[in-house]
Amino acid sequence: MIRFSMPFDSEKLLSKAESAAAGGLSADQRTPSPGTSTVLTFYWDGELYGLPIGEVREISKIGSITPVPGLPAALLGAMNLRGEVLPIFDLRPLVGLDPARPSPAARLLVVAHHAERVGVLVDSIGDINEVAAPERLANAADVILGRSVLPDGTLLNLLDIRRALATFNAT
Amino acid sequence: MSEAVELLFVKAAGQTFGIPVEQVERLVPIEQVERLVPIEQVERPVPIERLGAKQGALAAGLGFAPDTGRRASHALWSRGGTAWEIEGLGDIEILPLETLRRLPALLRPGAGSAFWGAAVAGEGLILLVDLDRLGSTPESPTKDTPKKRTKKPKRSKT
Repeated sequence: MIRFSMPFDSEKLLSKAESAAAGGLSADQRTPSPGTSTVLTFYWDGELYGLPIGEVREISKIGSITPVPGLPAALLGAMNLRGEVLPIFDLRPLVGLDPARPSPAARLLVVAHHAERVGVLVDSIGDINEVAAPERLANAADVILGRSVLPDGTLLNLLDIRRALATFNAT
Repeated sequence: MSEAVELLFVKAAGQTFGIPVEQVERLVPIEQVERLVPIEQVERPVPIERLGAKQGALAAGLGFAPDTGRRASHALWSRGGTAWEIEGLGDIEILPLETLRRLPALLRPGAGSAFWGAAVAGEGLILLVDLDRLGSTPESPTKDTPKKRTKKPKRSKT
């Protein structure tokens, strides 16, 4: 009979899973350097965008999206995510891009919006980067919080997800 | 045994919706429903419609844009007195309450929306419709309408 040196602790495993679900992604446990933040990057139309990693609850493949009539155009409908009814957004028009076209690399970023979780369509996922505080844009109403330049010279647009989703507050 | 709800699945706007069976009075194949056609559209003799003063496509009632490519398969009369054209008829299924979900606030298009929830079905979702919250009431069929054969939907347990 095989004996394990440590018993399997299902409660510990479940607690960890619940913490990960309640908080942000825990992909990087290091504390960012002062004056920097850890950002999850993604692509829209070949341009790089980013969200603070703590804003992202999970990343999911895109399943079948059920349209719901009478909603703003950016709110594509709902998706069944492991039994959860998840509203799905295409926020590309908010930054002046055409609406999303489906592709195999497309993913959903699941973020919190008030008391609910919502999915935001992205063309593909980039890296997790530590970026310096972005240069703030002059137009405070813009959904782009600021811009940073990565070490390889790529321009990163930091998305203000709360401002972007605030346009669609439930009535 | 857990509580369950009995739903009739119908097609409208190219997708499937669930309607509580208790809201459905009867279903009639569309070819058996006589149609009122505005006089200016008449190119040849057509039967008289008594479905009501206006066409009641369920897709339009739910807020979808009209699609002339879709054809009605049945007319559905609700116990509330409304009549709706549907594009296809599915089964009656008994779903455990655990498969039902409230629609998130963002997905409730406003007061009067006929959607009251969603059923989790495999990897997809089926929106659930309350017929009593839909549009206005067309006329009921008149007394002298020929007796219509009604199709009893198949029942299946899940």
